[in-house]
Amino acid sequence: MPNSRRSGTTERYREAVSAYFFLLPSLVVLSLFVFGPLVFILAVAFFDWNLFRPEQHFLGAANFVELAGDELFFTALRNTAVYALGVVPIQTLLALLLALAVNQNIPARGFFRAAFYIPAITSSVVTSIIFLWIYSKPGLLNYVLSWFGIVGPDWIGSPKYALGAIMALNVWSTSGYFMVAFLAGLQAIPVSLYEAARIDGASSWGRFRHVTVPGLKPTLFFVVTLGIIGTFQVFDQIYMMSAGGPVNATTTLSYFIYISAFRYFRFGYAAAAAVVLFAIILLVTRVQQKIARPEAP
Amino acid sequence: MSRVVLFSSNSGALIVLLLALSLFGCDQQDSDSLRLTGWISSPVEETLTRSFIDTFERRHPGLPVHYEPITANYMDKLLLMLATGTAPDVVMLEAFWIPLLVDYDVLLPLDDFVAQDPGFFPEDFEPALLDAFRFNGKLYGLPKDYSTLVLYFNPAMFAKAGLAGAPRTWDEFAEYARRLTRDTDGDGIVDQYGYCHAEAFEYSLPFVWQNRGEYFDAQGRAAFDEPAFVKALSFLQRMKTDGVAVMPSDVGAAWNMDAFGRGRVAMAISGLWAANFMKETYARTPYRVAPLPAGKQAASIAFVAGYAIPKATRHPDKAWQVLRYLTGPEGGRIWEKSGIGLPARRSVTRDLELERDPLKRVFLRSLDHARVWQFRVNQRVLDETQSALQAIFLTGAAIQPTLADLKRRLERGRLLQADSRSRESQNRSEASR
Repeated sequence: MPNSRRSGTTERYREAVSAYFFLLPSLVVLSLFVFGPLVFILAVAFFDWNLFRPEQHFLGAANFVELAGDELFFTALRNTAVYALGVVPIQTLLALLLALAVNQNIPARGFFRAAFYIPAITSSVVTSIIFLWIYSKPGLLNYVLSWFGIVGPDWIGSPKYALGAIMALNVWSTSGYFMVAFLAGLQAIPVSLYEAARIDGASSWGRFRHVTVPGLKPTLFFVVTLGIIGTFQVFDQIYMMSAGGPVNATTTLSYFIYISAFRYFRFGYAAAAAVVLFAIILLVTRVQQKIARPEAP
Repeated sequence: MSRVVLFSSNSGALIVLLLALSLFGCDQQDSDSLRLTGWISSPVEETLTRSFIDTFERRHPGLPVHYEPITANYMDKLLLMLATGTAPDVVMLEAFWIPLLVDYDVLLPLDDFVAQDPGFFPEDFEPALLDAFRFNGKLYGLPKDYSTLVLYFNPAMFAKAGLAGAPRTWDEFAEYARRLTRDTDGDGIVDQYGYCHAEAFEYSLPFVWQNRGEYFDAQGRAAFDEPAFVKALSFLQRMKTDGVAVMPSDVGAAWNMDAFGRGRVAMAISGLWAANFMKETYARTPYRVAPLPAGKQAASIAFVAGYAIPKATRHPDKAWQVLRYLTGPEGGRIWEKSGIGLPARRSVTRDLELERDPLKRVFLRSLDHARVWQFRVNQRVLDETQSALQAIFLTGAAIQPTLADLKRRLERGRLLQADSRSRESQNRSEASR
């Protein structure tokens, strides 16, 4: 008996060793490119960090103080808030509606599921360029509007419409992705619950309200959380389509961080803004966790 | 089990090794050859550079040149390469960047090379262009070519409006624009405008200078809220509100010469590169060029491109050999063929008889009253200025308040210091307080 137990621990030990061997490549890559920079940025935020100098100067909280007086930073904060508040509810609702639709027994269901998902797997650079054409003054959108006698503006070139236009693009491109999440959530709800509800005489609205919605709660939490994080980080569409303009109408927080670092070469300042973004996302996710605690269905 | 462990450790080691190789692979270069980079503004430029390298290598058998063009976001990449000491040995550079890069201390001063090279003749360069690469008394690059901004106009539209030649004054400019704004097909909607103004700051600056205004004065103080600057922008904004001038996006064009090429406008301002663009894209739209209309004085702006040697180069002497050829008389003649810039050397201009070229001589003569596109200010200041101009030209914002607000923003962010160093030291002293 003792013998076999000893061999059991050796076995477990060897298993652990081999497990870590398997994990090693990912651990190395992750710590080198994800965890390392993550911790490092907290340090950089307190420095006047310029790649062009061999030595960096410690500033204390000066970067944060400067951020507090930087109007462009607050413009970026406001744009980001508008972006998140506009995009997250619409894309979540749209994703839910799409999921409910393609969860029915409709003809060509597979086709619709794929069609709604394609924007999510298309490169954001490609979709940005396509939407630049759609949104341009002689573009597709204004052509359609002209049928109704409306003379449309240059959507991306106008400070009034640029942010909204990019938000619409974002809703279009991510709704399909979250639709799949909702679809998985819908299919995880046991059919027996619907049957029980039907036997109890629940209407279709009642079944949706009391079976589907509670059953989708964990998925909803997942979708909203990822949606908030995604919208707070929006960058590629902005970079490709409007470069933060016109009149800073589309300068979001992540774009502000990018130009501070790679255009103005103020890495410490950019890191400080990134830390603020991190704190905001953490806070919002916390609040959201309090409101909609994920539970098992 | 043991087989699995063996396998996993192998694959782990293999992946780490591959990763390491791919990382170090980036840094691996042929240490013998000299690296040269540049942007590519037209295919012809790349062809010329390659033929130029061939000629150079034939003359200098022991000096292979490796050409690494950067096809997009040139300065983003070059700045990072300069910051990390990985930039090529010879880099193409717009004179615009000289103050910033000298401030960052990443360029090699060239004065000693020039002084010890009797066959180079630096006095042959147009003085204004050479000066654009000089900073604090030292030379940090050499000009290759340049272009000034001139007025492109459509002679067919002018003839229809009964106008003989290009406008010479602001009054004529506005009046001609009014007469050239027409509803050509009689549907009640204007489809031809007088002038297309580009929103980029460079295109408004000549008007400011023509009005004896300044962006920053000789002492480095912000002067963009003063009447001369404000009035120049008012003149342009009024043409737009009067409906005789448009921005490119108003007529669905990508940029002002696109609007001109499509025949939506009769006048636009651009550089020599636009002549190339017209030939390639809108060959059927007739055009002529003239000096910019003058305000209180004649003024234009010059964009100067050249080459520099990063301080981190391991082969400064070899790099000079390439640089002196690229910016020498022979190199100048090759560049001229590209048709996107005028030669920086007077001898080349003379030999090619550009004074007789009806197109190029307009650009050439505009250099007499042109100033180089270069400011000793923070990039953020220029970007904020650009945003203010967008507000003025795209949303019709009132000029005086917009510029006053710009000044207030910049002062509040303490962005009006000339260079980053004084600003950094101020930051530090504040942090230590």
